[in-house]
Amino acid sequence: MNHASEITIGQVSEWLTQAVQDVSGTMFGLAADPAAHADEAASAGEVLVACIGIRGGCQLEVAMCFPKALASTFASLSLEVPAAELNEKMVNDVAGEFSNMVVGAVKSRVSDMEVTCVMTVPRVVRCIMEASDSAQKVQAALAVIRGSAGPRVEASSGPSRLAFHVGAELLRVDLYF
Amino acid sequence: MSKKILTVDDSKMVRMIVTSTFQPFDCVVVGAADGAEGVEVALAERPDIIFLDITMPVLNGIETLAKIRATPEIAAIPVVMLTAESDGQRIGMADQLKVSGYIPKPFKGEQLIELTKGIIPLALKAAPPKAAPAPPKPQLPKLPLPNR
Repeated sequence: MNHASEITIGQVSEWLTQAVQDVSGTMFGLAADPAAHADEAASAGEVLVACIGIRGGCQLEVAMCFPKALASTFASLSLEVPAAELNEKMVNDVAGEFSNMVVGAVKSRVSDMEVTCVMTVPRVVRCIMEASDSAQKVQAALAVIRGSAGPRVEASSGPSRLAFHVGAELLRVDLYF
Repeated sequence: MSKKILTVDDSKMVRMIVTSTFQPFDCVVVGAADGAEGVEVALAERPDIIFLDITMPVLNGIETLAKIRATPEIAAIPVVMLTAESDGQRIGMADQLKVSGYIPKPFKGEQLIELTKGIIPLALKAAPPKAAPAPPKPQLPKLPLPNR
């Protein structure tokens, strides 16, 4: 349960949407268009799950699911390295920084409402997902960061989901508020 | 004399972007992956300006800035926060520690250049000297064609 009762999941979703579009456009020159039926969006194949949270007066956890091809595209663009020369560490780093910038923008909005909170350091977990088990895999990825990010209050509801078309790929964002 | 820029960020992507942004200029960019390393590198390299992230492991950016300001040899180096956390609270904390500027992420390279130019002189790298023109090829005498 959040102590900042004025902040709603709708507001957080709006801030996250704006931040994803901002980061994708400014840092990588790629449009991120909100996908219709985000609730039905499922990730499949090799996926990088970047997990990051906000703790304190506002409790939020975000899992950003990057298909490997999309994360590699972001890495290739920002590091100016051909995709074939990328290694896992480089790609993980870019996925982590993307999530850091997105959630940082949300954290700044929350802090400006005079709610004291801190951001966790992003963690990236790789997994192979199928459409049927992506929710469980995201939960498992979040458990990795919960171990290192400290205690949190249980989310008051299940995950809320956003999804974005970036080129031919789908970037999925699960948030627990 | 070349300027020296230190970028302190746990993201290699950000350190690479800072490096490539200043590539056309007469400067050297050095990097550190966390706050503690940032202080060590600042002491070793004595940069002309430091770009500093906030959310980092080991020492966060505010703690790192406080340490820099408390270390006489590097206390006067201008520090610009380059961070995803751009709320009033963080800006206030950084201001108290005499930060020279604040660039929120996501950012464009032009923003880094403009802010840096306002703090330290930045010169473009000198163009390489033009190569001397090649001497003209000697004209070979034309030989008469044999009669068929």
